Amino acid sequence: MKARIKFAKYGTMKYVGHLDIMRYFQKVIRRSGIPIKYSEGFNPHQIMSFAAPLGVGLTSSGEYMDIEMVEDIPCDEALKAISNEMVDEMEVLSFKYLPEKATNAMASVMASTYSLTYKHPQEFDFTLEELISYKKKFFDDSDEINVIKKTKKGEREVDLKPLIYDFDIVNGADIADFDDTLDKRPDIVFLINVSTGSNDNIKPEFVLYHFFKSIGIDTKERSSFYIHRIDMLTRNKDEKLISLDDVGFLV
Amino acid sequence: MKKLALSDDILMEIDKPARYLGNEMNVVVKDPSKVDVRFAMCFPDVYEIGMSHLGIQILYEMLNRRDDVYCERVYSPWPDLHEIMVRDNIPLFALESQDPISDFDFLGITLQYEMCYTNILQILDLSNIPIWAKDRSDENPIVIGGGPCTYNPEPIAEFFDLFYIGEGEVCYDALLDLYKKMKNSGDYSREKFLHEASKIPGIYAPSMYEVTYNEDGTIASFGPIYDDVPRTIKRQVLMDLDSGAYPTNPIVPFMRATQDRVVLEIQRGCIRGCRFCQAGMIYRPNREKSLDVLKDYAKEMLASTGHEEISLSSLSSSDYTDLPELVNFLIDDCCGNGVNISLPSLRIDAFSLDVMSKVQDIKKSSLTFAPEAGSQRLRNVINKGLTKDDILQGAGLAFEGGWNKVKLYFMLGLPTETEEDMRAIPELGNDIAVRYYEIPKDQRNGKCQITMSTSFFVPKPFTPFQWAPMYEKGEYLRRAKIVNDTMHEQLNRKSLRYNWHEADVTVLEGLLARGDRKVSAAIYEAYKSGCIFDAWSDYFDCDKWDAAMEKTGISLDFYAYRQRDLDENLPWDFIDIEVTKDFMKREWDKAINQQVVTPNCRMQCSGCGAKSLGGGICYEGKN
Repeated sequence: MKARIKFAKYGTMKYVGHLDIMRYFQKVIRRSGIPIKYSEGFNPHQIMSFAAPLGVGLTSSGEYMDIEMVEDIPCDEALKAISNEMVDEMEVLSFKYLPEKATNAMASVMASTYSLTYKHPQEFDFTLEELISYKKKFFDDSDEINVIKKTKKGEREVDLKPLIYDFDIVNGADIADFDDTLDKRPDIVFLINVSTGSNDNIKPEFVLYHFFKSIGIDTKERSSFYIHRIDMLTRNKDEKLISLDDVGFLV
Repeated sequence: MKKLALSDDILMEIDKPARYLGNEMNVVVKDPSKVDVRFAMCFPDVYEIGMSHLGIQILYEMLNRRDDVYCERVYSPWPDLHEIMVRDNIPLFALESQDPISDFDFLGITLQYEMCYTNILQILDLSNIPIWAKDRSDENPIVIGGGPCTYNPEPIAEFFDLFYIGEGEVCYDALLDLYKKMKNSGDYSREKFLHEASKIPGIYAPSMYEVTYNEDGTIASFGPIYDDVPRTIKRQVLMDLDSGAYPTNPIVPFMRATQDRVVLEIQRGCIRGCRFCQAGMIYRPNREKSLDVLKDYAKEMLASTGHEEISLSSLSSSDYTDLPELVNFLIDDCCGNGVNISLPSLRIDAFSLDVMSKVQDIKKSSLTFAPEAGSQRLRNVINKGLTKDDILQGAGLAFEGGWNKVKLYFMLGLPTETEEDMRAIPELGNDIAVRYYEIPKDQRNGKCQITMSTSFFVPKPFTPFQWAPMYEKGEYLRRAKIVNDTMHEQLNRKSLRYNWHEADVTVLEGLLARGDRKVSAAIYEAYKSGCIFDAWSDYFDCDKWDAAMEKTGISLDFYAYRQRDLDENLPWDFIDIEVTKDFMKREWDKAINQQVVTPNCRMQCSGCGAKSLGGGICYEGKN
């Protein structure tokens, strides 16, 4: 059966790139001894695929990989075996089996939720209330947010509005489930839920870049914000966004 | 969040930040405040090279087995980070604790190749440790060197407090115990410690010795400045390899290291005695690890790392007595589930071809031969036992088994080399191609591809060729051109390829390999003018080195191009590797004058002196 593993990556591990994380997990799985399936051929490899890769410098509490098993062992047993092989600041959060017809993690990601905070708060001189009112104008009250997006093929105009599913600005103290690797809860946290995947992939710092641009501030995207991916979402049969983790089931 | 020495802004700015994080699987974590000795172990090159080195992994395991010692790792910051550390005044740090190196008791630096010497100065400089040992205070760490380049430590002697001559397994405990005792008794001073340490077997404290020179620049005398300091330093040898520490749970890097696999050291030393090869002399006698130990290690290490590949390490794996049994065990009991064996270069025969066909894709893999010299005459001079018949027979067997790619390695500039010897290189390549095309067309696999590579010979200390002259850069390139031109005259030239190395680095490597204490001024000058990562062709700057030599009066004529007299005092004569100078002289004579080979250690003892160590191949089958 296919299984889905949810994991978190934070602290020092955010500087380890996606390709290295893939290699890391191949070795983790081999050490853990769980019965993963190997491909045929002269150089067999583990059948393993990752959802949307996380950029270097980002932390996450909602990363996913799907693997195929040759034998179905109880989820808690698998979770324990894999957890034992983790390095510090990498954590396996769940191990669930997938329904037979489930699409793989990579193809099913539709949206991601993020929290962003200032790297250098002193560079931004706005109160929470001010930001919320600017945001209302930029996002809540606008019908379209037309921006230029650079792609591999060149530049094109896109309307961000339908691709941003949620945009909130809150005080860090008011969030229950937050990236607890930060030393203290920041005063200002941007919560953004955006379209993710092969079609309309929007980066949260891109949204903030245009938000700040709308109030006359130039940000440097990556180097201006700490970016934490909270979770990755897919659509259920009612077209509702649900966590990739909720597709699986425990055995 | 775990501590990091570098800020987020810096880590996001530099290339491959994973080099500087620590936190890898199997890393050793201790509380630094609860140990007596903090040891920073350094490989003076970039992380992915340094992490591939087995010697450091052995020492890391061995030192960390002691509860009173915490051994951590440090590597050379890549030039992009180097610049930032200098700009922002960030001290160099160890990966595990991320603490500055200046907080440590020892900084151990492994010396694997001469071209890393400026990187040593980079490490000291960034650690805020005075580059010259004489300028250090009691507060600075003790800087100790080890590894193959310590067999002539003189060009870098003034940058080090101590050198460990020999295999690390033997005397580190004594050294650390001495340090701990002196520190705890409150009776520590750098000078006193170095003086006491110099009495430990294998430990060389350069500041306890002085050199005088003749008018012609050669060494007049070399000796200790105190009566109780030994005149010669004996190489330390671990006779029972099974008893040594071995890293059965080595660190698994996140980045792809050069050696991204389990490495099983099967033996030390080599029975062959090639006359150009330093490793073949300084690791005598040949000692094997027992098969059962290796089987256990293989299983344990695959389980503890999750690596998908296992490889054997030794100077000549084909000479390991139980090789067939070991390889069959690895294939039968360790392979499968995505685990492969990567075979070291084995002698090509029926056995190795059979094994290779099991573990490699024949169509993609190539056979490797290292004849080192093109003609039989020159192969006799260098004592390389391989004959043309061996090569043609091996290649023939392989061609019939489906292979069609062959790699051949040679050296140019060997003693007594003539134009005929150079021309013999592509001629041998052609003969191998002829052998391939003897196979009926319908039974062979398209065209064959014979790739020949040459490096330029560098005479090394403690080899029978230690007295040999080198050539100037232009002469090396002229020789490479002869090989290239001759290749184009061959009948099967379309099946032949030829690559040769750059010559600039060769000459400099020769200078550093056989230099004396005076050479340190040139190394310092080169570093000060911006040379680091000289082993990387992108960073090597020959002009800066030339200027540094010019400024410090170091001449290649004297250090590289000169034929040394057999009775000259060599800078490394104070080291006793237990292989005698008389043996080296006999081998020199057999090479240059008689041009005859010396049988390998298994066939017949050649009386090199290593028998006095009381074990290994010298006593094999005689107990």
